[in-house]
Amino acid sequence: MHDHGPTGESRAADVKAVDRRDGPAATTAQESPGVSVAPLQRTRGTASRHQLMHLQRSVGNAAVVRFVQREDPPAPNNIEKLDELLGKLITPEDKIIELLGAINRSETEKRVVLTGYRNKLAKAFNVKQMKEGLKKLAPVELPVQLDWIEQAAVLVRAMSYDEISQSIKDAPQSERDMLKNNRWRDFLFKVCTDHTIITAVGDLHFDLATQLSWVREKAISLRLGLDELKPLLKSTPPPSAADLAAVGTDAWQPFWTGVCDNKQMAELVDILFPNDLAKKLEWMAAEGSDFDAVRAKITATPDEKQRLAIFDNGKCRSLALSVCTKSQISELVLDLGGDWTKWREWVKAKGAPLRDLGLAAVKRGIYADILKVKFLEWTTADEADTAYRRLVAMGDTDLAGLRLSPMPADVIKDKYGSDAEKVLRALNGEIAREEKRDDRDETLLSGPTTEPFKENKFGGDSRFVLSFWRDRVDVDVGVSLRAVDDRAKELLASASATWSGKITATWNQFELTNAHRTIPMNMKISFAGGPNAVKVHSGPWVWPNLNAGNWYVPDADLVPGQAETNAQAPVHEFGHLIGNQDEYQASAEHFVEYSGFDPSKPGRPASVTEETDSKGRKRYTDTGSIMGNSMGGAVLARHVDHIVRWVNENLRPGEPAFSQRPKAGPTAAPGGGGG
Amino acid sequence: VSAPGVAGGFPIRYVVHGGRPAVDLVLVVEADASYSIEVRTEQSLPQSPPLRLGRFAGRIEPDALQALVRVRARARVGNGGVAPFETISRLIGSGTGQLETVGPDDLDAVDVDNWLATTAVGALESPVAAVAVEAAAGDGSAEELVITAIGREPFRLVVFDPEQNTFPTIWRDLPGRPGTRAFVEYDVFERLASAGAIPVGVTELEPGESIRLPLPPAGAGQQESRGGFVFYQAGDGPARAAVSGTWSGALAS
Repeated sequence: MHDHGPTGESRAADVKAVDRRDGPAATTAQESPGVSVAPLQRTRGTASRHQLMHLQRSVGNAAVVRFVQREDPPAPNNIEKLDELLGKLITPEDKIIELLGAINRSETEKRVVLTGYRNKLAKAFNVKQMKEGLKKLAPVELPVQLDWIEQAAVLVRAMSYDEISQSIKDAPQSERDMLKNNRWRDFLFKVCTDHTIITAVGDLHFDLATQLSWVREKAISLRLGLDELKPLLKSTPPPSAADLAAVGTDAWQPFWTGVCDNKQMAELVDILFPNDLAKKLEWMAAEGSDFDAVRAKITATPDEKQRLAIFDNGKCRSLALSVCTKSQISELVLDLGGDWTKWREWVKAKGAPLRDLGLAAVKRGIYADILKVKFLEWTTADEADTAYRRLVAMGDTDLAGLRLSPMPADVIKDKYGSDAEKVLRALNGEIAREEKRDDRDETLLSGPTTEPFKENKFGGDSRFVLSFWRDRVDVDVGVSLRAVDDRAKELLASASATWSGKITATWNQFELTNAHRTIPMNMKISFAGGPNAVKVHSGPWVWPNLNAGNWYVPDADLVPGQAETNAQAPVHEFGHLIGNQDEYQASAEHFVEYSGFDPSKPGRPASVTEETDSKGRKRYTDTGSIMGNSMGGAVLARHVDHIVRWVNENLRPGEPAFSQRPKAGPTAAPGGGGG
Repeated sequence: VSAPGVAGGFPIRYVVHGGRPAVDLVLVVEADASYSIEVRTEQSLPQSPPLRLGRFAGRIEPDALQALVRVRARARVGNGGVAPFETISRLIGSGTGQLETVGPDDLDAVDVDNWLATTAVGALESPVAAVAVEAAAGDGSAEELVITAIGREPFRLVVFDPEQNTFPTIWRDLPGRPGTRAFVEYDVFERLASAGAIPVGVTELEPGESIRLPLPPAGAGQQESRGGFVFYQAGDGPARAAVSGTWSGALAS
């Protein structure tokens, strides 16, 4: 460092020490660092300021004086008078001050004084006298003034800002800006207290960031509050937008959170970010805030776009969740605007009931739709079953209108927990639902005709779900397939797809119709699991192994002769799974009960066969029915009669009874479980 | 083959019957290890065209016979309670005794079943009183179902018997909705019978003789030609056993 010369501060201190020790003759060209004097007004000759400075450095002040005196008109010799007065044993300060006034009338003499007499005068004057002297020399640039005053001070720290404030105030801004460096910052730190530094930077009219930096650095021990800093923030003229932006960066946030309490932060953000709601809330979040303060910021922001953007701001979300109670969060999100899809997430995150949000929207008139109002009233009081019934009782149009908003579904999920699914189904149009179980036995007439038929019982525990919707009837069958050998496991996926396709294509034959509507009856099978258990085998089956609970994978490679049979057999089993009985090897009474006709009478359908045993007993098979012939029989209206009956038992008031009829157009297979 | 001891004596009757696809098979094994096997449905034994139904003959292997004897020994009178839908019944009897139920988990019965499906199927080449059934071109573009007696004995059947309300069930699978079928109506058979084109009552179809029955006409634009049939084999007294299978053929262009 010393190779490059001392710093300005140390250099000035050194000079002053020398002055005090060696007297006026010891003054050097370095005695007034940072001095900037006005250009010399030459009347003759061509010596420039630079030349003068060079001369001063090389031959000293006296030579410069002689040079100037030689070149300028005859001097009044005030410099000699000044030297004389300064050389007196008792310094006549007043006379010197007076003389400085005279010197000021000659630019040449003033130049000589300003460039060579700082230390001499500082030794003679105290601060007050120096200020007087500088007045006589006015105008003198602000840094020069402060440098000379500093030199005059016995102890700079003993000075007060009041002693220099007027000089600062009186100086033009260009000269104040000369102080925006460490040299003068350190000087002011010595002169100012933690409080007067605020006044000082204010008087200096630096940019806001510099002002606050100096204050922050100086007033480290002071518990600064916004009130103290407000003069800087609300100065006249006010800080520019750029100034405010500079102290509104994230880097400044810790400073401000240290300065402000919650209330002050709310005030500060209006100053720093007058048109940025997100920034306001983010900084309030950093400091901590309360519901009223946050809400005030939101309601004071007319820009809807800004308010809506808050929903996507994680910091603001955290703030809202922390300052709001469960009842307040609804008010806050409504203040932000938007719609239910915006509101619900924050309310849910807070753990507040979504129903309360809906009610708050009603209270504000945001939800004026009577359907929503009524719905919210119900869900406030109703249990799930009651809510289900109310929704079922609603007219189609009203229900469709209610569903236009996501609000009802959300409220239902929120309020009814594990019972919500049921209520949601009603909201989505379900009218009735029943899990059906059919474990009836049937008696078939087994054995060859050469001997009396044997009555054997067959059955199964089939389970399916009927659901009657405003726009459809669904018949859902869940099957749990378990492959019992490696080949079956390998082919299970393709087999499932085959079975699913054939079952849905075969069974989706009917629709229901009445005077009001025509709705499809959708037969759906899922092999993804369910109450109906089936073992799946591979290889050639021998007769007893293929039945309702044991299916064989179609295997065109290894068992081509049975591939079609194995693919088709589950279509018949599906009929059992939805509650149908067999229509083969059955008595006439069985047919009367399950098929609705007596095959023993003349005129039986051409599809029905009749066998007779050795005792004359007859048994019948309907080869045209899927329940009588697993290899391609048809699904007939009687196979869905029980479903139609169930639907008609569950009609809404005013709904005419349905009857089934074949679906119009090509059969469409609705989505069923494949695997 | 020396016959093992069998409670009740020979013959042993082993019946496999029921279910869907339909199975109707009766195996009768004599003490000399000869057997006859009645096959009344297409799905009773694996076979390739022409479809053969009726009674066939063969000789049983010792292992299969011993398995059969063990099955007989374990069979019980009465049924096995409620069986799953489509369960095919296995019954066994010996001598003049009644048929008894074979337990569903009888492993020897499984061996017998496998023997039937893999070895006894060879008996189809030795018809006794049987028919071959297939579709064939008829007059013009029509197709017919042709039932031809094969074997060395007549095949007793009932094609049409108005007094017993007995008539064949013959159908064609139609395109469109799955399971859609066209059937030959009773009136058609009545007219054919009146015209003498089909026999009335029990008929003994001599080996080599045929009966031609009409098939339903094809649907418009139908490319595939297939369907099924049921007619009846006459038994003792009033017994009428359904004989069933499928047919297929190429439609005339």
